[in-house]
Amino acid sequence: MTAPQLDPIVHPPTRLSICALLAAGAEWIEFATVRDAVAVSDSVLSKQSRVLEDAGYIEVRKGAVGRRPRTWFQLTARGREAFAAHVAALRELAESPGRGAQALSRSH
Amino acid sequence: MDPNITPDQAQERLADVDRARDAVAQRIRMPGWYTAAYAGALAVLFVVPGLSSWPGHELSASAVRIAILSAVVVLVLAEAALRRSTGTRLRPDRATAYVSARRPILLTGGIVLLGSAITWVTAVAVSWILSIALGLIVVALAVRGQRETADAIGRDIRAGRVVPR
Repeated sequence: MTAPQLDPIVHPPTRLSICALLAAGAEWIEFATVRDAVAVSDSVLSKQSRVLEDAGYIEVRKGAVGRRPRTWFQLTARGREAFAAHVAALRELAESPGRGAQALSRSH
Repeated sequence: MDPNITPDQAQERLADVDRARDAVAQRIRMPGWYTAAYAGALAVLFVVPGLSSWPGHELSASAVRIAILSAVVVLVLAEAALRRSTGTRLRPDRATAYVSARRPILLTGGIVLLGSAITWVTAVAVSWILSIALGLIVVALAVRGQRETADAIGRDIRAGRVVPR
């Protein structure tokens, strides 16, 4: 029996929340909306979104409304698959404490 | 970073996922200004047939064209402003993606299409006043349909029921 596979890119809480927002059902979500919902600073969101973008999990589109720059995020197909697999692994861990402990003990 | 976590931590992460869905769902709404712009633009579209047939006050063809064009522009601008204010852009395949919204979307579309035909036919063949009254009823039904659509999309997002691409 194999332990649930958690995705190390999606795993950190901030990146998980970003992916969860983008996977919720909207096609694109604006930078400020993600920042406010995840409750992080602009710089933290920029850094974490860069990691997701480099992994090919999100697409970033930059534009402007008047003089104001606007950045929009979208989860890519690869990102959606990774997020879905990560959530499935989390559910598996949460529902079977034995397996969670097994996964932990393997790492030590 | 070690990706292994305890079952309790997994529960907490899943709760974070639910909270994220809730945050997006809360953004799917129809603000008052949008409702006013949407209702106003539709009112122009559905009242124009009646007004253009008002005996002694008939509108010229160019006036009708300008009114209809202006209403369409207002609808497009209001939609863009709504996207900016909510910070979300919904999927274009709404009737497929948001299962609960399918019914209100189809109903609202049907009401608008049927309403545009009925108001014109009524204005030309029956009565301009009746056409305006019917037009206003269509506007009220369409606004209600839009609200129900937004509510249904919010419910689907909150429940994680959005159909993946």
